[in-house]
Amino acid sequence: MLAGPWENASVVKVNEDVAVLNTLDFFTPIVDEPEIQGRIAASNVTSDIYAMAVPKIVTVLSIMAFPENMPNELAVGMLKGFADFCREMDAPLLGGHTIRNPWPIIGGAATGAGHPKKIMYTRGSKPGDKLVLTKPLGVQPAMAAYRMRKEEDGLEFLQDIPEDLVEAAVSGAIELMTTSNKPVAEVMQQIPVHAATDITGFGLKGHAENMAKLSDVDIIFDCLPVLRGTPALTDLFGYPLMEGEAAETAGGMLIAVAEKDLNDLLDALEKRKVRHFEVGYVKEGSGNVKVAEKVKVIEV
Amino acid sequence: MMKLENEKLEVKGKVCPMPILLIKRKLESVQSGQVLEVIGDCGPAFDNVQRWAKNAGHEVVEASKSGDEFNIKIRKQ
Repeated sequence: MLAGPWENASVVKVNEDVAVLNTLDFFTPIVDEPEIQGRIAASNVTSDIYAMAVPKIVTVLSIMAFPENMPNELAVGMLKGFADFCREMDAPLLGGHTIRNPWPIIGGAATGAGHPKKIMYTRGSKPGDKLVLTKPLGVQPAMAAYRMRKEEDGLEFLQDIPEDLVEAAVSGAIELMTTSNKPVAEVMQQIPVHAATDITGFGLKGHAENMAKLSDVDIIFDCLPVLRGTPALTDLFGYPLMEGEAAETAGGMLIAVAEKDLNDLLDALEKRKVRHFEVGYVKEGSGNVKVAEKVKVIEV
Repeated sequence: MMKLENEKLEVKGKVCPMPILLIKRKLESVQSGQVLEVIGDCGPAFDNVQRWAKNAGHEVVEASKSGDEFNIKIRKQ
C-alpha cells in the first residue's frame, strides 16, 4: 500500500511497473440541469485520480440514487452527462448501481493505473517551492447565487448586485466544475513537481493544510484568483472566500514546484490551455497555512 | 441600565446562505448590545452563521444544537 485515506485516492503497488489507484465520490445535485450535473459529478470523481498525476483511468462505476417522485428523464440525463464526460476523458464507464432514495445522489468510483514511481502525492512539498493553482476559486458563493436567483425571496437579496456579475460567477463556476483536471495530470507526468492535490470540499486552505502537515512545511498564499462576481457575492453571503476557506466543487489542482521548474510547468500548462495562477510559496515550518494580510485578489 | 429583551428569529427550512441574509436584515432593527436568538435547522449554517457573526464584529454569546435544530445567540456590536 502506497497511500491510504489521507490521500486523494488509495494507491496499491501491484508490481514494479504498475500501481492501482481507487477513489469514490458522490454528492447531492447542485444544479437543476441533469446533464450538467452528471458532468460535474464525473469531473469530481475522476479528479481524485488526476490529482495524483495519473492520466490513465481504466474503469469508472457510477452511483446514483433518485426519489420515487423524480421524473425518470432527470435520472437518465444525469447518467448521460456522467457517461459523456467519462467518454471524453477516455475513462471507460463499465457499470454501476442505482437505487431509490428520499433524495438524489450522483457520483461514482474510479480506478486508475500508473507507474509506482510516477505518482504524485499531497506530501512532498519543500521549502522554497512555488504554488500554482489551475482553476480560480469561488464555487460556493457562485452556486449559492445560482440557487437564490431561482427563488423569489432569494432574488430580492440579489437585487443589489449587478446581474452581469451574478451571471459571470454562475456561468464561470459551471464551466470550472465541468473542466477536467486530466491535462494537469499529463503535465505532471512531464514536469518534475513535488506535491499536488485537487481543491474540493475543504477549500483552498483546508487542502493546503493537508499538504503542509503531510510535508512538514508552512504554506503562504499571497494571491487568490477568484471567479468574477464572487467577491461581491461573498460580501453579501458572509462566506469565507477571502480567507481561502470557502468550499469548492471539482476545483483546480494545487501544485508545489521547485522555483527552477516553475516556468517549465507554466509553459506546459499554457500549451494545454490550462488556466494557471501563482498563488503562494512554501517555507520551513510545521504544517501551518496562512493567507497573507495583503493578499492580492484577482477576479478572472 | 435597563436590560434589553432578546429578539428572536426563526430560519427553519432555510438553507445557506439564506439564514445569514435573514439575520443581517433582522439585525438592522436590533439595538446595539441586544441579543438576537436564531433558531434554524440547516446543518452548514450552524458554523457559517457563527463565523460570519464574529467576522462582522458581533459576539456569539451561545451556540447549541439539539437534534437537527440549532440555537445561536448573537449580541449585536
